[in-house]
Amino acid sequence: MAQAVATLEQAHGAGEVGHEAEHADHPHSSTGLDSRKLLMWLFLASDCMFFGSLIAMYMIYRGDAERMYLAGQGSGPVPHEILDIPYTSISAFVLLMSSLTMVLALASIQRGNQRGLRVWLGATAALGLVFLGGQFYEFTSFYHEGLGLTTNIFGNAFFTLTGFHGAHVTIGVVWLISLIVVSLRGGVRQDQSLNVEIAGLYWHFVDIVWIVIFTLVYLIPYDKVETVGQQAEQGFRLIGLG
Amino acid sequence: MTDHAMQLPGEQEDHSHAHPSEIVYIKVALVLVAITAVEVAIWYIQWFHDSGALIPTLAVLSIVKFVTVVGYYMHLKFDDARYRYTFVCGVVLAASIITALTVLMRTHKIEYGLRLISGA
Repeated sequence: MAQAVATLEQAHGAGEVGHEAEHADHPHSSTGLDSRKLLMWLFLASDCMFFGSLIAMYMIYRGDAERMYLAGQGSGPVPHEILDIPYTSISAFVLLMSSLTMVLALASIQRGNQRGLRVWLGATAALGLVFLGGQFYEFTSFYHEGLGLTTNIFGNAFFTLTGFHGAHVTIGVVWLISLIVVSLRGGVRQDQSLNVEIAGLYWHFVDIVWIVIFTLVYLIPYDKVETVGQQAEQGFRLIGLG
Repeated sequence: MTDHAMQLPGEQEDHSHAHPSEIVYIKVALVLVAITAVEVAIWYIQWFHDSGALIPTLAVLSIVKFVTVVGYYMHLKFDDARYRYTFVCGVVLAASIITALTVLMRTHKIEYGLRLISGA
């Protein structure tokens, strides 16, 4: 390995290290696209399917939990009793603002502003931590109100979905803090802004997943969704199948 | 394929010039916050619940927010179209998974309900 590095340095000359590093940051590809950025988009596309499955399970199980509760079966609490819309709206606002600070960090490094990069990355990580703190408080308060992971199928689906989202946010915060540390050591130059852009793609993805979760988990009342099934059932009855 | 097919191996596109300015980013953030405020506000208006307009309105607003973040903050509006196709494939597959699983489970429930009604 050391011999290979020495050979490479001899071949290109010590004066071309910076140029070499620049090319290493933007590797050539037959498509003309940056492979790392394409890989991140592929990962995000696959993560969409992962969250799609969790969201589908939540939508199905939450409806079941509400119906069982109304029929006097199953144990509470159920969504309409426990979800706190104003509190979660603030969490949604915090995550939206973190997306803004993330793009401002990217804009800073693209202009070569190292201090701006660190300030905005720090703000993004801080907002991410505020979101995680809010989620921890929400989970704790739900637990004290009697909703645990195994209380009912709503609790199971809710904690699994929002917990996996929280895990994504945690990974994002660690990534951002790592970028700040690397930046402090002079490891993020203007020509390496793609490193920040890729981290930003991941962070914005976490934000768009929350946009979907906020609507489907918190805002949409599932008694309305259930009436679609009830209408279909009535339709079957009308055409003589019921 | 467009002009990308003409690009020689090794030629790298420059993304940075195509990205919007900070002012645009801030305006987008204000729009996103305003949409979120509207979402929460209509949730408190009983008319939306009673009329059945709540779910379609929330769905549209949510999609607008999703597309805005992906387009402006993730730069898909400005970047190479192949990144867009890659992500859209994932989103379409995810939407298909949600639709298929929901329909599958609902169909099963309706059949179960019909069996209960008919006493079978």
